[in-house]
Amino acid sequence: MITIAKLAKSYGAGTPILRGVDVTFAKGQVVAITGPSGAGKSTLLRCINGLEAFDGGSIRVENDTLVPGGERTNAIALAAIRRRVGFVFQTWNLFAHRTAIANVMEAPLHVRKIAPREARARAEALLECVGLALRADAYPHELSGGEQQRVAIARALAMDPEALLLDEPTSALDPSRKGEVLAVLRALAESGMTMLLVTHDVAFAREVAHRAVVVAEGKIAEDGDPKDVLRHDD
Amino acid sequence: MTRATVRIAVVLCTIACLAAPRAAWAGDALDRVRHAGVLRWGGDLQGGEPFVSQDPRDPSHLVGFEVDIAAAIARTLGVRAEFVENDWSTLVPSLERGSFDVAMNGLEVMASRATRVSFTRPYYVFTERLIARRGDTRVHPSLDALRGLRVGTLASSYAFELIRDRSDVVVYEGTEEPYLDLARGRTDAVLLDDIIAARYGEPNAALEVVGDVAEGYYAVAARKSEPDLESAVDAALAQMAKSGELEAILRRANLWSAREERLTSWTPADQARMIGAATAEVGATGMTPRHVLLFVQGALMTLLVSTLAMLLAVPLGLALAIARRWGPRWLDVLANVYVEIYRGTPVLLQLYVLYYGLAPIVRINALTAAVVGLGMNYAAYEAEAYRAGIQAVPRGQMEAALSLGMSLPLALRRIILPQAFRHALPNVTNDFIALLKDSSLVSVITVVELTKQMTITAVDVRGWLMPGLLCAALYLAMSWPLGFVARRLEARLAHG
Repeated sequence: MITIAKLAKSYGAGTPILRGVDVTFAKGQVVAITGPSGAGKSTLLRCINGLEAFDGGSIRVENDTLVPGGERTNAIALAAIRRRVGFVFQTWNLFAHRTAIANVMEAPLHVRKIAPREARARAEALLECVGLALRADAYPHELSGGEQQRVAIARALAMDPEALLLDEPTSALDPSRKGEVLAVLRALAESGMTMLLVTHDVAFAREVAHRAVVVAEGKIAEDGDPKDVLRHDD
Repeated sequence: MTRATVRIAVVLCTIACLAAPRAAWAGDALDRVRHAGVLRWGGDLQGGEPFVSQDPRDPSHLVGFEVDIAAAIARTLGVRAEFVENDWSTLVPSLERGSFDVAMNGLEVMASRATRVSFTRPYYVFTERLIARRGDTRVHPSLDALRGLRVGTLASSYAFELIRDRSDVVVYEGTEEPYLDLARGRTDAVLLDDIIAARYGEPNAALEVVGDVAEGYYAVAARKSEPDLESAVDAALAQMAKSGELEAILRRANLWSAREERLTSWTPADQARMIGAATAEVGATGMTPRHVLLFVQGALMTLLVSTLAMLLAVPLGLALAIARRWGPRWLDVLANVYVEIYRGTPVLLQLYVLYYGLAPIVRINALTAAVVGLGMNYAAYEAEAYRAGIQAVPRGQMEAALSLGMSLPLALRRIILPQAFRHALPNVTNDFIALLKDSSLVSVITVVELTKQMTITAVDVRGWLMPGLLCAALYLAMSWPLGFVARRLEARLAHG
């Protein structure tokens, strides 16, 4: 479903962060992406839906291909890819001026132009799924970190994505709050959703992932069964 | 206070000074002048030639027939003359508060002045000259024929008193602008003193003299509490008239005519007639309900100009802020240049350029020019307020919006700008209140708003205190609720 070829990117003039990444992700796969900090895991993920521009190589999602040049050059492909691929941020980034349910309804209403009544019903169902039906009318600042991340997942799912990109979804949370988010992700993985999960949580990766990819120094260092690849890590 | 109008400050200072007890020089003003060795006389260089102006060959040197008369008077008193610059429309209050010893700058002997200061014998007999566009048959040489026409003149002038109840009066602050506007068709006629008409109106080939419709006198004004100084100056003028020096001075300035001959045979009876005729005009009335109504009209004009200007400044400022943050490089540079130019030059200058400077190219009326001028100026400040507001919205908000498939315009409209607006609101409110006060500047392009109405009324009621207080009260009545509404709105938007 996602094919990445010779992907290269540097920040500023000198520091290369990605040095020619070649990797393919199939539909229905749950892939854990791990590796040391600063190795380029998050950058790889953010390149896939165009939050970062890159300098060389290409990214193909189904029939849409991104090339170097950023937002303007890739406008049409990006619009298509972003509808197909959802993104969950480390620090959730809920819209601060909207309630939980309005956050979930925002894109279906204004991007997909779904009727308000239908959008609300879908949003209520999604909040129910992530266990936040009772918090629908709360503003982000009234929610805990774990609750905000669950709303953010519901918000991404509201666009019916074929794949979900998750950038360290639990690393900004208190240990006591991680479980509630992991439970949602576990259920999602079992439902057959294609997921690329950047994480340091080896135990969870081994539990839910079909495949593990280790990124080190801007390249794919290891790629294979989680039981083998993640064996040496703590 | 950074952008509060100078005008209001001047008014408040005047009020403060009038309230303070005046130095008690009564009876020995002449001794004071002789002791100091200078006669300080007030006038306005803006009145220009031939009254008193800077010598084009040496701007530190003053020329004009009034400079010569002042020098001659001073010589007779055994002192030298010293010029004091003062805004023409406030010469009388400034004389009263003691800014100079006498005032002499084309001051027509008329009720609003004769009741507050003493006038000497005249040094010039003027006529009120009516000028219209060449061939305009609607304008006839009579005051009553001006009914219903748009007529330009100077604020606080004798001509203004003559036509204010007859015509649709357009008031100016400079002597050149009335004729420029007349030539361009913004007014139907201009009524001003013959000296001004001859210097600024008659040389314009598009205009012609319709006729002289009234007559009056220029005289030197002194404080009522200093009759000795007033008689000394009067005596000096009498001596100059008798010796032929006055005639020589007026001839040099090309101002001598048969009409001026009565100056040489001026009698106490003539003086009594002149003062009597002036004070027989409608006397001081105090503040009447009609004045209050005019003030409310002025306040509505202030509110109209400010609101329309803000309605222009808000979207334009928003567009500028967006261009600077997300626009292509060339648009960013352009927006930057716009902001720096409009922020870095006085709004008064911008209004002048827009209304008078660009008049040959764009034809807009005074109200439109006021709204556009203030709106474009304030857009620069709004752009900065929004830029700060946009910067206060975390980066992740835009990333989240884009990752959900929103286009840049949709993300701006739904996600970024509503949050940026909340951050910018206190500054925007502040700017609107500043705009309410800055709108008083549009009187230079003939829009009569609240502050202008106050200066006109102050002349009518022979005092600044009541009009000043009423004017201040009306400004407060507009800005106070605005601050209140803004705080309520901020509280309502304070989610997140």
